[in-house]
Amino acid sequence: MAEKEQGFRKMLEKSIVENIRIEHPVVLKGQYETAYSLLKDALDTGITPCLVGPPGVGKSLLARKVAEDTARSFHEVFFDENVTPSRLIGSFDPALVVRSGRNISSFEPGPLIRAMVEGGLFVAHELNRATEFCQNSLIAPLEERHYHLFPIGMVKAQESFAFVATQNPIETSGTYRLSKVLVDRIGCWIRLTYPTKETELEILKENTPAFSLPVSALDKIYEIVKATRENTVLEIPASPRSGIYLTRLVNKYIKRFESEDDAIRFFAPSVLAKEMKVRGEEGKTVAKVVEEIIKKVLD
Amino acid sequence: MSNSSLEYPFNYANYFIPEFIHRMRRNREVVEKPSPRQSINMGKILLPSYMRNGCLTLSNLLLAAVITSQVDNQKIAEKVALDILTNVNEYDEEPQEDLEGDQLLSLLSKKTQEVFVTPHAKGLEQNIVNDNPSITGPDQFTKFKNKPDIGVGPGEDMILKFGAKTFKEERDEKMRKLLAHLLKERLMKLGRELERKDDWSRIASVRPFQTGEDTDSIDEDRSLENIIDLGRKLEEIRPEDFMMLKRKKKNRSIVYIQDISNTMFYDLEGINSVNYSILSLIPLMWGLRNDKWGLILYESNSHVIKDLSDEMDLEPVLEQLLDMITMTTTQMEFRFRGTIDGSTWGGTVPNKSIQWAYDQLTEASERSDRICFYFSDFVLTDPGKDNDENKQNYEVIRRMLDDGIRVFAGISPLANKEIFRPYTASAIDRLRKIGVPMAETYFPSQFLERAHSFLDEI
Repeated sequence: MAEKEQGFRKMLEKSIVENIRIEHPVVLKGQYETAYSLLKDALDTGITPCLVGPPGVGKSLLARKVAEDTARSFHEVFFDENVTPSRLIGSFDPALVVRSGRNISSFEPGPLIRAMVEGGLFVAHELNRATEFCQNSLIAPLEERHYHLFPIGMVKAQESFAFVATQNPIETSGTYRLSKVLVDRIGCWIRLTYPTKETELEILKENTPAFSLPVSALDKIYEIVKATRENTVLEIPASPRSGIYLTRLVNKYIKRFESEDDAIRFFAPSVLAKEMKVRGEEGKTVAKVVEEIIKKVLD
Repeated sequence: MSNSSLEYPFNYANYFIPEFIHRMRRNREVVEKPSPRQSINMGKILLPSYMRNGCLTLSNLLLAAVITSQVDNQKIAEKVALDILTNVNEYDEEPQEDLEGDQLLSLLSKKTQEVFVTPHAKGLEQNIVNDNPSITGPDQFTKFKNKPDIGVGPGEDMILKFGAKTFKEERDEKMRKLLAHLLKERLMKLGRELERKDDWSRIASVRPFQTGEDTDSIDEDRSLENIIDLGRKLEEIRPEDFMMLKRKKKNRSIVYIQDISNTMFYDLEGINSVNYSILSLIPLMWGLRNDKWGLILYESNSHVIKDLSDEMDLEPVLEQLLDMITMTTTQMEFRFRGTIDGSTWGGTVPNKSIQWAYDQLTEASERSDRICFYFSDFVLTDPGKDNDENKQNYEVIRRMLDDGIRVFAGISPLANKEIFRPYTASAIDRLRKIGVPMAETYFPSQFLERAHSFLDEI
């Protein structure tokens, strides 16, 4: 048991990396090209950008790509109602405080302070799920680029410190409206929506290891994903991320099936249903809607 | 516009940016007006394009205008920017009122001298008229006209009530949209306040400190006690020896019952009982939106809007409720039935709704705090004619309380007025005797204050 634990600790040590690299090429075409360029321009000119779009359209990936291309360290927090300001800023270790008081050595920095000190990129994912308490703690770092860490003093951000927010459209369940003060400090609102066919097909290909599917199969996958977006019954349709998962599965296991249609028909319900949501008043289930769409596209 | 003005971009940008901001601020559809920060940001975001290309194009200016505008305003921003770039004069020449602060109040209150009465006298209402010979028609309630309002409650309540009143009579669609938006924002603001208060009144317990947590929440007394109990020396103290206050929220299952029977359409100071209820119901529902909720409306029939177990976004429901402020009982019948047939509409038959609430809440987990908010004027029977069906309602409410379901009544302010009193006294007294706490919906903020104390009681 002790050996196993020792082994795990060694593996853990080896797994620790400075920064996670993006594994697949990022398709910077169409809206993504514009968004990427705007994102960089905003950061270069000291404007705080916010990427707005439905889940799975690549908001986080774009932010990560910018961090990687500008050689900034990357810090992120996924907001929800349980995230407190101390989760962002950091907190004092009470045991060390008892011994040596509140000072730099007893302070455990949070990702925001780390990003400020290192001059890195801080990504606030789903900012519109943050409570007002949390939103308020972001105002000084955003506008004045400093944070008053009592009793240590004022922490000033490095020149290259940058802040990127992402948010889902406000119609999405569980979201709050951002406070006016915070909204005013976000100077650039970049909207992302579902990509065009050409772009999405390339995304599907690029994100599928050893891609070898015929064009017709990829087209069918895209048509199914697209049909979910055109279906008015669905509040949340399938994202490009779902399309990628479906493509990967079909690509890997297509040989097990008699035809590409069979493979798609087999995997699509399980993959697509995971993130889709039917409008409450429609009285249909996701499974039923997916089944209808698959039938319509494949038959 | 000559090309040279674009090559020397800030010649034109110097005109474009302030003009764009000015037009956006004047535009009626823009609720959140752009701040000076947006002008600065527009200038900043144009710079990289200029540095890259050596000139600015019209699309650079258009893009700068759009992306620096808030998401809700981006479509309008695009149109306004295009108008400027294509030299179109402002379409809307009317002076724009600044809908902030005092001026908002003046806008909302300018028509407050009128009182609206919805003449739907039938059923119980007709009995009220018959029993009170001095009453000749719906104008009876004009005696409540302009009862003290300003200065009685918080300003927010006053704005809400005037807002509801103005919303009801406004015919201009754009203005209605704007008023609806303003009302919704203010009601949600009240809801957020309730939410904040609610956050602080969670069931407190303690647990060990974990790295990264807020040290402000350390319970010093219990931490010290724990450290002494463990017999730690100063240098041995570990972070987990400190005890954190844990605010654990007990899950709630809440059912809202809203009365929309005909008696709810009588006006007091220009707005009716349905309006009063809705002005309290919307912030209440918004403030408690993270809890499980169900909603039912009733008159002669019951209308389930959402079961406790259903998944549904709250905002569209609140918008529908807001829309109900402007409706007459006939319009409501049309909304819910698709036809108008007054004979089986508008009576006061709460039985099914109360039973539905009971069923829903008994099915909910007993570990959750199960609550029923019941909004009505409690005109349930003719004076002295308590029937069996009505007794059954009290019985179901009593059973709810016995089963640990908490019930809170939101009473229309009309219920305690002289004319309604003979019809409501018995119902309200009985509810009080059963042990149902209640609050009037006359001032939404005061109602919410009471509702919060009620929520906090557990």
